[in-house]
Amino acid sequence: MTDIDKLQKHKTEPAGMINTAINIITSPAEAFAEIQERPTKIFPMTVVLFSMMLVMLWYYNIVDFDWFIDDAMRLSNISEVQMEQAREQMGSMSQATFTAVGILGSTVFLVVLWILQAGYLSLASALNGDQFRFTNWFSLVVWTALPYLLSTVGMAVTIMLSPNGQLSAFDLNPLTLRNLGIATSIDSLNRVFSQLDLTIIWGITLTVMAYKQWLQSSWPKACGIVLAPYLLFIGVWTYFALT
Amino acid sequence: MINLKKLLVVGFLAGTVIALPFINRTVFGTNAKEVNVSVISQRIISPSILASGFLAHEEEVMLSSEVIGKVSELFVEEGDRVETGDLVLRVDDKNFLAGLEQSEAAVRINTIDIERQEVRIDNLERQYERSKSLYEQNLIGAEEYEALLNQLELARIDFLSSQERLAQSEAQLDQVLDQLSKTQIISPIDGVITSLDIKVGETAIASSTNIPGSSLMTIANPASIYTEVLVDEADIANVEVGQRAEIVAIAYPDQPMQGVVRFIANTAKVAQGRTGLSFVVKIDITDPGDVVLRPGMSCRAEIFTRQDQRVAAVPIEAVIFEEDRAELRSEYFIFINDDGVARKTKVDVGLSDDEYQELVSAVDGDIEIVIGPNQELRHLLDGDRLDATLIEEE
Repeated sequence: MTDIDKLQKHKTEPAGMINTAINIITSPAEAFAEIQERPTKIFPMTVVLFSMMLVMLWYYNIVDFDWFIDDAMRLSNISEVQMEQAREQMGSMSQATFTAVGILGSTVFLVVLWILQAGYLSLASALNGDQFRFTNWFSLVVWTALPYLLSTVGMAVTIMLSPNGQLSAFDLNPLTLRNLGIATSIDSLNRVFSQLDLTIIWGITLTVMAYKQWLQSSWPKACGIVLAPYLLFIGVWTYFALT
Repeated sequence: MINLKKLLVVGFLAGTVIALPFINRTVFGTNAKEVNVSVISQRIISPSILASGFLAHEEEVMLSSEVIGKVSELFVEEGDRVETGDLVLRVDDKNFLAGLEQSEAAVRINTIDIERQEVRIDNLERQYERSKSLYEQNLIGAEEYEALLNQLELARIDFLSSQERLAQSEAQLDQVLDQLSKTQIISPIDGVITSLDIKVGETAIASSTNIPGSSLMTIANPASIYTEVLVDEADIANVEVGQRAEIVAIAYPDQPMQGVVRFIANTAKVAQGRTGLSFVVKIDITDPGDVVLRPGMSCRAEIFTRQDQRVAAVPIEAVIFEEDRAELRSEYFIFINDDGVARKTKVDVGLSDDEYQELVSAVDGDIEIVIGPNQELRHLLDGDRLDATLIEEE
């Protein structure tokens, strides 16, 4: 067995994966090199999706379902009559069905988001003429989502501390900007703050760093290419929010 | 080998994330629920039942003609006030006058005939007396005597027949006079013409069926207007004569009238347009206010089934009903504000109306009870922290 073979074997072993996972958080440059060398996907995908599903399953099991429906409706600023109708419609769905739909929907959404991100970066690579393909970018995207594990840990603690099941989905993640105390007088912006958490920003930052490292590009170029879809999304959203 | 320093960094981050919810909880505490509270008040609870119906006149007559004929004169218009015995309408009586003359002539003819019969009988009696005397003296034969006797008896029979004919013609005259009198329509009551269904020139028809011309007009006493409602059989046990009622005419939704139950029907019936049994209940209107009462108006009545009494009461939304069908148990609760903490307290309740529920349990009058908002109240739990706002009930 050659040294290269040993290295490859080491990278695909669970201990190697855990090492990469720790490196993603503590020394990203090393982790990016490892991912470039061996673009694994199953381990980070499984860890992120499984932990997310587990926490969501726990949340939907302990939450006071009637209260949850009312809480979700309250934010939509609808009349009492409309709320009663919506309550009846949502109430016709059992808690188990709601849980299944919620977990499945979130999982599919996250996977689609990763595919779109990887697809976009591989398109940029194709235009750039570099050697990175979809599989490399998909691996990078799922690995850089790993900090989300910290959010799931925070959610689990929040669920544990909930005394009566009346825990809002918006209060669940302690790392969202809203729950870290960031708020504005603009409602639509507050809604973004309640969805956006530090680990997402962290993940995007890691992707920029990885792009710079892999393609030896400048910071502005890496930022421009990686952040372009996000900036486009924020621009469109701002346009509709303001108009 | 996994670097220990890196593990410590990961551990520190995880520890920070784990600590965050604890810090949040310690610094900001759990979210207190914003609720409205109120103290228990003494209130009049007026349990009631609702029923719908219409306004009607107690004294109301629908006039119709007993003879067929064209209307020749109309002496009233809709809305006119009339008194008992007033002539309101006349049907063309030419035919009836001709019939009257005919009948009177028949009576006269029969009277004359009787007079002729009487003269004839007198004459035959005299002849009979003479022939009897002659027969007894054997001056005339038996045949002649018996022929005269026979003529006298026949004349007497004819006289009786003429008398019967006279009686018959007099009866016919009475009948014609009666018919003639029926061409004049007289008001049987004091009242107002509430409906005039015929015009001069139209034909009045003697009929009980509801065809054009059979109804001439309706006269009603406006002072006798009342409310007739249909009370569902499930509620009738609570209704008694003399109970207070509030009547709202559909045309005057903001002007309730006051009334008193006067009559409850003995027999339940299936009213038109309904599937279940209901009882007719009549309510006298004691205070119509500014409402212009018109018979036939749709209305609904709220009959207050218990005399007004002041009792300890709370808003009805503050009372929570819990039922356990498996254990055949049903209980009522209220939430008490115990220094900013919700305390679920079992209570016994009495009567209720649309807004308030009577509390039968002895509850201290100074305590604050959570009364809303409904969105918070429906999910309030024992031990929840409260951010209470005291509402002064009227």
